[in-house]
Amino acid sequence: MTFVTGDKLLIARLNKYKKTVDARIKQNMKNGAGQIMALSLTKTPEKTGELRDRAYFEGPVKSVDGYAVEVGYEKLAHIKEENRYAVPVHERTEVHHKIGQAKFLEDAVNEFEDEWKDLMSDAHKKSMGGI
Amino acid sequence: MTVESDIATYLQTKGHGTLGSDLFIAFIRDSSLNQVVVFPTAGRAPHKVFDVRRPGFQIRVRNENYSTARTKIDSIRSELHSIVNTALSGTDYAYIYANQDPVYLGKVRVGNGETNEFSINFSTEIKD
Repeated sequence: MTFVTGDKLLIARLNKYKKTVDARIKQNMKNGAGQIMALSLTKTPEKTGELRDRAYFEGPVKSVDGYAVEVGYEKLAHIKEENRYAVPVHERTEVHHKIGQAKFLEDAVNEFEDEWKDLMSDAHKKSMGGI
Repeated sequence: MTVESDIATYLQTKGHGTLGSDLFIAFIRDSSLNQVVVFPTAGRAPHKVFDVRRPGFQIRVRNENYSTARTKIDSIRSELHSIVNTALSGTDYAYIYANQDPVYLGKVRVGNGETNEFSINFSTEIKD
Protein backbone atom coordinates (compact mmCIF):
# COMPACT_ATOMS: atom_id res chain seq x y z
CA MET A 1 0.00 0.00 0.00
CA THR A 2 1.24 3.48 -0.80
CA PHE A 3 0.41 6.58 1.20
CA VAL A 4 0.45 9.99 -0.35
CA THR A 5 1.05 12.82 2.10
CA GLY A 6 1.27 16.56 1.79
CA ASP A 7 -2.03 16.91 -0.01
CA LYS A 8 -3.26 19.64 2.35
CA LEU A 9 -0.11 21.69 1.83
CA LEU A 10 -0.40 21.25 -1.93
CA ILE A 11 -4.05 22.34 -1.91
CA ALA A 12 -3.20 25.37 0.25
CA ARG A 13 -0.42 26.34 -2.13
CA LEU A 14 -2.62 25.88 -5.18
CA ASN A 15 -5.25 28.11 -3.57
CA LYS A 16 -2.59 30.73 -2.84
CA TYR A 17 -1.35 30.38 -6.42
CA LYS A 18 -4.84 30.90 -7.79
CA LYS A 19 -5.27 34.09 -5.76
CA THR A 20 -1.90 35.69 -6.46
CA VAL A 21 -0.56 34.52 -9.83
CA ASP A 22 -2.58 36.94 -11.94
CA ALA A 23 -1.27 40.03 -10.14
CA ARG A 24 2.31 38.74 -10.07
CA ILE A 25 2.33 37.94 -13.78
CA LYS A 26 0.96 41.38 -14.60
CA GLN A 27 3.51 43.12 -12.37
CA ASN A 28 6.42 41.16 -13.82
CA MET A 29 5.22 41.83 -17.37
CA LYS A 30 5.12 45.52 -16.57
CA ASN A 31 8.62 45.36 -15.06
CA GLY A 32 9.87 43.44 -18.09
CA ALA A 33 8.37 45.92 -20.53
CA GLY A 34 10.07 48.76 -18.69
CA GLN A 35 13.40 46.93 -18.81
CA ILE A 36 13.03 46.22 -22.55
CA MET A 37 12.32 49.90 -23.17
CA ALA A 38 15.36 50.90 -21.10
CA LEU A 39 17.54 48.43 -23.02
CA SER A 40 16.14 49.67 -26.32
CA LEU A 41 16.89 53.28 -25.39
CA THR A 42 20.57 52.39 -25.03
CA LYS A 43 20.48 51.38 -28.71
CA THR A 44 18.22 54.10 -30.13
CA PRO A 45 19.91 56.43 -32.62
CA GLU A 46 20.22 59.97 -31.37
CA LYS A 47 20.42 63.06 -33.52
CA THR A 48 18.00 65.48 -31.88
CA GLY A 49 16.73 63.21 -29.07
CA GLU A 50 13.21 63.29 -30.50
CA LEU A 51 13.09 59.57 -31.29
CA ARG A 52 14.15 58.62 -27.76
CA ASP A 53 11.44 60.88 -26.37
CA ARG A 54 8.87 58.92 -28.37
CA ALA A 55 9.55 55.58 -26.64
CA TYR A 56 6.69 54.18 -24.60
CA PHE A 57 5.36 51.04 -22.99
CA GLU A 58 1.81 50.20 -22.01
CA GLY A 59 -0.09 47.44 -20.32
CA PRO A 60 -0.51 44.76 -19.46
CA VAL A 61 -3.90 44.47 -21.06
CA LYS A 62 -5.96 41.33 -21.35
CA SER A 63 -6.50 39.99 -24.85
CA VAL A 64 -7.87 36.74 -26.26
CA ASP A 65 -4.36 35.27 -26.03
CA GLY A 66 -3.85 36.32 -22.40
CA TYR A 67 -2.05 39.37 -21.07
CA ALA A 68 0.02 41.56 -23.37
CA VAL A 69 2.34 44.52 -22.94
CA GLU A 70 3.29 46.90 -25.70
CA VAL A 71 6.73 48.49 -26.07
CA GLY A 72 7.28 50.85 -28.96
CA TYR A 73 8.04 54.21 -30.42
CA GLU A 74 5.65 56.81 -31.78
CA LYS A 75 2.30 55.70 -30.44
CA LEU A 76 0.16 56.07 -33.52
CA ALA A 77 -2.65 58.06 -31.94
CA HIS A 78 -0.23 60.68 -30.63
CA ILE A 79 1.87 61.53 -33.68
CA LYS A 80 0.67 62.59 -37.12
CA GLU A 81 1.52 60.18 -39.91
CA GLU A 82 3.67 62.71 -41.81
CA ASN A 83 5.82 63.24 -38.71
CA ARG A 84 6.56 59.58 -38.02
CA TYR A 85 9.98 58.17 -38.83
CA ALA A 86 10.70 55.46 -36.24
CA VAL A 87 9.93 52.53 -38.56
CA PRO A 88 12.29 53.54 -41.41
CA VAL A 89 15.06 54.35 -38.90
CA HIS A 90 14.51 50.97 -37.25
CA GLU A 91 14.44 49.03 -40.51
CA ARG A 92 17.21 50.68 -42.53
CA THR A 93 19.99 48.41 -41.36
CA GLU A 94 22.47 49.80 -43.90
CA VAL A 95 22.47 53.24 -42.23
CA HIS A 96 25.31 53.83 -39.80
CA HIS A 97 24.46 56.04 -36.83
CA LYS A 98 27.02 57.96 -34.79
CA ILE A 99 24.97 57.08 -31.70
CA GLY A 100 22.76 54.02 -31.63
CA GLN A 101 21.80 51.54 -34.32
CA ALA A 102 18.99 50.24 -36.53
CA LYS A 103 16.90 47.43 -35.02
CA PHE A 104 17.05 49.27 -31.70
CA LEU A 105 13.81 47.68 -30.47
CA GLU A 106 13.96 44.24 -32.11
CA ASP A 107 17.48 43.56 -30.82
CA ALA A 108 16.46 44.65 -27.31
CA VAL A 109 13.50 42.25 -27.32
CA ASN A 110 15.68 39.39 -28.56
CA GLU A 111 18.39 40.09 -26.01
CA PHE A 112 15.84 40.18 -23.20
CA GLU A 113 14.38 36.77 -24.10
CA ASP A 114 15.98 34.82 -21.22
CA GLU A 115 15.26 37.53 -18.64
CA TRP A 116 11.62 37.54 -19.75
CA LYS A 117 11.36 33.79 -19.20
CA ASP A 118 12.93 34.25 -15.74
CA LEU A 119 10.41 36.97 -14.85
CA MET A 120 7.47 34.75 -15.79
CA SER A 121 8.99 31.76 -14.01
CA ASP A 122 9.59 33.90 -10.91
CA ALA A 123 5.93 35.00 -10.84
CA HIS A 124 4.75 31.38 -10.87
CA LYS A 125 7.28 30.24 -8.26
CA LYS A 126 6.42 33.05 -5.83
CA SER A 127 2.71 32.40 -6.27
CA MET A 128 3.27 28.76 -5.30
CA GLY A 129 5.05 29.86 -2.13
CA GLY A 130 8.58 29.61 -3.48
CA ILE A 131 8.52 26.04 -4.79
CA MET B 1 27.57 29.84 -46.52
CA THR B 2 26.03 32.79 -44.69
CA VAL B 3 22.32 33.20 -44.08
CA GLU B 4 22.09 36.17 -46.45
CA SER B 5 23.89 34.26 -49.17
CA ASP B 6 21.75 31.12 -48.72
CA ILE B 7 18.55 33.14 -48.90
CA ALA B 8 19.61 35.26 -51.86
CA THR B 9 20.61 32.13 -53.77
CA TYR B 10 17.28 30.50 -52.93
CA LEU B 11 15.36 33.57 -54.06
CA GLN B 12 17.22 33.51 -57.34
CA THR B 13 16.29 29.87 -57.95
CA LYS B 14 12.67 30.78 -57.29
CA GLY B 15 12.72 33.57 -59.86
CA HIS B 16 12.76 36.58 -57.54
CA GLY B 17 15.77 38.18 -59.18
CA THR B 18 19.25 37.70 -60.54
CA LEU B 19 22.20 38.00 -58.18
CA GLY B 20 24.33 40.98 -59.04
CA SER B 21 21.71 42.41 -61.36
CA ASP B 22 18.53 43.16 -59.37
CA LEU B 23 19.13 40.91 -56.36
CA PHE B 24 21.87 41.86 -53.91
CA ILE B 25 23.40 40.82 -50.61
CA ALA B 26 23.83 43.34 -47.76
CA PHE B 27 24.21 46.45 -49.93
CA ILE B 28 21.59 48.61 -51.58
CA ARG B 29 22.60 50.04 -54.94
CA ASP B 30 21.55 53.67 -55.05
CA SER B 31 21.82 53.54 -58.83
CA SER B 32 18.94 51.05 -59.09
CA LEU B 33 15.26 51.90 -58.64
CA ASN B 34 14.14 48.26 -58.71
CA GLN B 35 15.95 45.74 -56.56
CA VAL B 36 15.71 43.11 -53.84
CA VAL B 37 18.33 43.09 -51.07
CA VAL B 38 18.96 40.49 -48.36
CA PHE B 39 20.50 41.84 -45.15
CA PRO B 40 21.75 39.75 -42.22
CA THR B 41 20.32 40.74 -38.83
CA ALA B 42 21.38 39.75 -35.34
CA GLY B 43 18.41 37.51 -34.59
CA ARG B 44 18.36 35.66 -31.29
CA ALA B 45 21.21 34.21 -29.23
CA PRO B 46 22.35 30.69 -30.15
CA HIS B 47 20.66 27.87 -28.25
CA LYS B 48 22.45 27.26 -24.95
CA VAL B 49 22.35 23.46 -25.08
CA PHE B 50 22.01 22.33 -28.68
CA ASP B 51 24.14 23.29 -31.67
CA VAL B 52 21.48 25.57 -33.03
CA ARG B 53 22.03 29.12 -34.25
CA ARG B 54 19.16 31.55 -34.61
CA PRO B 55 20.20 34.40 -36.87
CA GLY B 56 17.72 36.64 -38.61
CA PHE B 57 17.59 38.30 -41.97
CA GLN B 58 15.77 41.16 -43.59
CA ILE B 59 14.45 41.47 -47.14
CA ARG B 60 14.09 44.91 -48.66
CA VAL B 61 12.23 45.40 -51.91
CA ARG B 62 12.47 48.59 -53.92
CA ASN B 63 10.37 49.28 -56.99
CA GLU B 64 9.28 52.51 -58.62
CA ASN B 65 5.78 51.05 -58.89
CA TYR B 66 4.09 50.68 -55.50
CA SER B 67 1.89 47.72 -56.52
CA THR B 68 4.81 45.86 -58.07
CA ALA B 69 6.86 46.34 -54.89
CA ARG B 70 3.96 45.16 -52.75
CA THR B 71 3.28 42.09 -54.89
CA LYS B 72 6.96 41.18 -54.93
CA ILE B 73 7.49 41.36 -51.18
CA ASP B 74 4.24 39.44 -50.55
CA SER B 75 5.44 36.77 -52.96
CA ILE B 76 8.82 36.56 -51.20
CA ARG B 77 7.10 36.29 -47.82
CA SER B 78 4.99 33.39 -49.09
CA GLU B 79 8.08 31.72 -50.52
CA LEU B 80 10.12 31.90 -47.34
CA HIS B 81 7.61 31.76 -44.50
CA SER B 82 7.24 28.31 -42.91
CA ILE B 83 10.19 26.65 -44.60
CA VAL B 84 10.80 23.64 -42.33
CA ASN B 85 13.69 21.15 -42.20
CA THR B 86 15.14 22.22 -45.51
CA ALA B 87 18.74 22.45 -46.69
CA LEU B 88 19.58 25.67 -48.52
CA SER B 89 23.00 25.75 -50.15
CA GLY B 90 24.06 22.95 -47.80
CA THR B 91 22.88 24.67 -44.60
CA ASP B 92 20.22 22.85 -42.56
CA TYR B 93 17.37 25.21 -41.71
CA ALA B 94 15.09 23.78 -39.03
CA TYR B 95 12.69 26.56 -39.90
CA ILE B 96 12.32 30.01 -41.36
CA TYR B 97 9.39 32.20 -40.47
CA ALA B 98 8.33 35.80 -41.02
CA ASN B 99 8.36 37.97 -37.90
CA GLN B 100 5.58 40.17 -39.21
CA ASP B 101 3.87 41.33 -42.37
CA PRO B 102 5.84 43.54 -44.76
CA VAL B 103 6.08 47.17 -43.70
CA TYR B 104 6.10 50.08 -46.14
CA LEU B 105 9.07 52.36 -45.49
CA GLY B 106 7.83 55.03 -47.87
CA LYS B 107 9.26 56.71 -50.94
CA VAL B 108 13.01 56.90 -51.27
CA ARG B 109 14.90 59.44 -53.36
CA VAL B 110 17.80 57.87 -55.21
CA GLY B 111 20.20 59.20 -57.82
CA ASN B 112 17.98 58.69 -60.81
CA GLY B 113 14.51 59.20 -59.37
CA GLU B 114 12.17 58.05 -56.66
CA THR B 115 11.19 54.55 -55.65
CA ASN B 116 9.03 52.69 -53.13
CA GLU B 117 10.52 50.57 -50.38
CA PHE B 118 9.18 47.66 -48.34
CA SER B 119 10.84 45.65 -45.59
CA ILE B 120 10.15 42.29 -43.96
CA ASN B 121 12.10 40.42 -41.28
CA PHE B 122 12.57 36.70 -40.75
CA SER B 123 13.80 34.41 -37.97
CA THR B 124 15.63 31.15 -38.53
CA GLU B 125 16.96 28.14 -36.68
CA ILE B 126 20.01 26.51 -38.19
CA LYS B 127 21.27 23.09 -37.15
CA ASP B 128 25.09 23.03 -37.18
